[in-house]
Amino acid sequence: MKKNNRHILFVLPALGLYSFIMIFPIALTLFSSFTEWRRFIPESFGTLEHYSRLFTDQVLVKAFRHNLTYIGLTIVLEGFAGLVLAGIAQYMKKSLGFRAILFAPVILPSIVIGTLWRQMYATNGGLLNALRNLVGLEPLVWLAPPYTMLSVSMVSGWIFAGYFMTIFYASLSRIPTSVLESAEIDGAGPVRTFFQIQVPLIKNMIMLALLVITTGGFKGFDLFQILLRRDPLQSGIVLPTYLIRTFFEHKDIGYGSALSIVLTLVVLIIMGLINFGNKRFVGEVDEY
Amino acid sequence: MKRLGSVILLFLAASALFAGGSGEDQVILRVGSSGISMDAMAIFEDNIAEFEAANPGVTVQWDSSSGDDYQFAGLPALLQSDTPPDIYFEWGGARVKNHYLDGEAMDISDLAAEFKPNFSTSSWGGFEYDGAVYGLPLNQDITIQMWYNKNLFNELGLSVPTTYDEFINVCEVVKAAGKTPIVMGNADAWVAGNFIGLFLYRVAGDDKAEAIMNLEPGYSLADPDFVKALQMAYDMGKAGYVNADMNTLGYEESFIPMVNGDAAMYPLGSWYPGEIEAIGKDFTELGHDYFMLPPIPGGKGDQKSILGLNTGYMINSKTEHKELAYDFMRLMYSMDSQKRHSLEGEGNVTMIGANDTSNPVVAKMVDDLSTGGVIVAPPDTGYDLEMAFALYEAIAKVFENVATPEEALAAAEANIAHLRK
Repeated sequence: MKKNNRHILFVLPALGLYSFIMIFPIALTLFSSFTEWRRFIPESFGTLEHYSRLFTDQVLVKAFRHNLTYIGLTIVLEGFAGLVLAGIAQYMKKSLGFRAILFAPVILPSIVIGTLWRQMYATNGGLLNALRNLVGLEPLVWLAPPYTMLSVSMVSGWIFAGYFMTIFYASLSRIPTSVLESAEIDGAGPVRTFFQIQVPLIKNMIMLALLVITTGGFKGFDLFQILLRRDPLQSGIVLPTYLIRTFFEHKDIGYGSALSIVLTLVVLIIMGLINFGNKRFVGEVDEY
Repeated sequence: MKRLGSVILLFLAASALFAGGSGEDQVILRVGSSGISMDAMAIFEDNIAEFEAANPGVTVQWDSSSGDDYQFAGLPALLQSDTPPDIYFEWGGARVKNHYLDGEAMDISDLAAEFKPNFSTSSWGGFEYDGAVYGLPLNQDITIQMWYNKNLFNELGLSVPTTYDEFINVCEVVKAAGKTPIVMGNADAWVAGNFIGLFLYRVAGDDKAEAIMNLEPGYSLADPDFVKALQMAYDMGKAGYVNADMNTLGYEESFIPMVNGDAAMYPLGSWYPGEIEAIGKDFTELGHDYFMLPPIPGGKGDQKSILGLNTGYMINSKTEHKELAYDFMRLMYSMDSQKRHSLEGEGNVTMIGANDTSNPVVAKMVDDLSTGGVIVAPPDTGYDLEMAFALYEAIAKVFENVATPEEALAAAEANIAHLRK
């Protein structure tokens, strides 16, 4: 080896480790998706059947639609709510307690949150229906259609709005006070200053949040599983729950692998689109 | 000095990393089981203590997880792990057959031969394939009995229905009294699935229902007889005879309405008394009892058929401790242990003469099993699991009235089309 190429040796351990934990599993999944399996035993390689099945799978369509609905709802309930809460925290003289309370759900385990909210949503004896009862309304079955996705998204919002509030609050705090004072001198009120001055200045952070919510939306599993259990109506089936079911319950390794590959590609495409949109429509802004 | 310190730290870290390999003389016998009641576990713990005392250096490690977790993720993960169970619990039927096909089931015909004279013949169903035995049945469960609140029935002047019309009339009277006629915790899909599973057999006939669920060529889930059976579920849902939240109510949460007297009937298996005891209520004091589903008008099947299954323990074909596993099973299945299982309300045990027939519910179950009709398997244990859950989802949808029986079964058939290739 030439003396000036020796530095490659230093990269090899990291490259080996990266290949082992990233490249190898992806390659194995790709291989599995083209393989005929008899339960956990590979039988023959070279089939396209798992991919052709994707085009006729109605459950997959339903799961994908639910994922998109979930992402749409969480953009509002996590992202937008976090932004508004950050704005409110900004205008509070002492906001530490307010922020700490809103951030607290992030550190709770999913199982605790899921169990707590299953009780809140309970048809008989649940808090939400008790409140409806107080005003003379009939109880609702919150975790069944047509409320399923909204109910799960509300829990997600309850957890992560505080998380995004913290991120946005940090960004908003970095905007120079001179900018806000100028707006005030020009006669802008707090709401107008927030939406027309501060929010545009943290567009980069908002785009980042959008990316996190969107990609996270495709990975959402724990809340769906805990809140909806097996979800016999499939009113909240999402791609990860369908994946788990395909792998573990149906023991269909080939089709599960094909689903995994497609899910990865979809997430990559959406990430690419968001990045493209970021560059095309947001462009360069002052980073706060 | 710094270098020496680093070397020592590295050594300690490496030691910590590879620690745990000590105690090579210690043998661990692993048992995997579905969630079991504290009473049943107490019996197994006594078995473990006796076994460990008789086998110095052997430790029994019991790994238990709740029913659905064990069924779908727990057991498959355990069997694929580096420390798979030597003995594991299973539901007799298709699941046992799959273990046999996957090479995870040991042929224990020799051990079974020791027990065969003392076990009822029907209890081996679902554990025998190709002339060999792959598991020892512990319980013979009736999967669907109509458990009912006797006090509520008396209060409303109702008696046990003997015809389907009388059954519907009971539902109507209970509903008119502002109570829930039938409660089900179907969030995991199988409770309503098992309930209507019995309708499928009785309406379509046992052979035809089996052929449909075995995905035999020429048959379809959307068969007119299955449509007719699901129409009954649709009608019950439409009439408000089932709890509105049945598809979101968790299994373990669903006993509360029965205990509180808010619901009149619960279609569940012979383990119902154990579930009631598990939530801290005295089953005998509550005054609950059961009746078998009345005949279905126009049904082509055996109208006394019983939806039931055998459950028991299997031995992993990869175990290195076959003899120890055999010895431990002999303790688990001793007459003394079986009698205790029956006394603790663990359903109908398989050993002849071990059932506590002084308990009227147990005596009734033993009688029903011996005098009832043909025993048919629940869809989720007797057949392909993917097919079963496609069917269960159809049943959930028709109870909820979000799809007609035709639509729901057509969707189920489409979802399992790949299984027919």
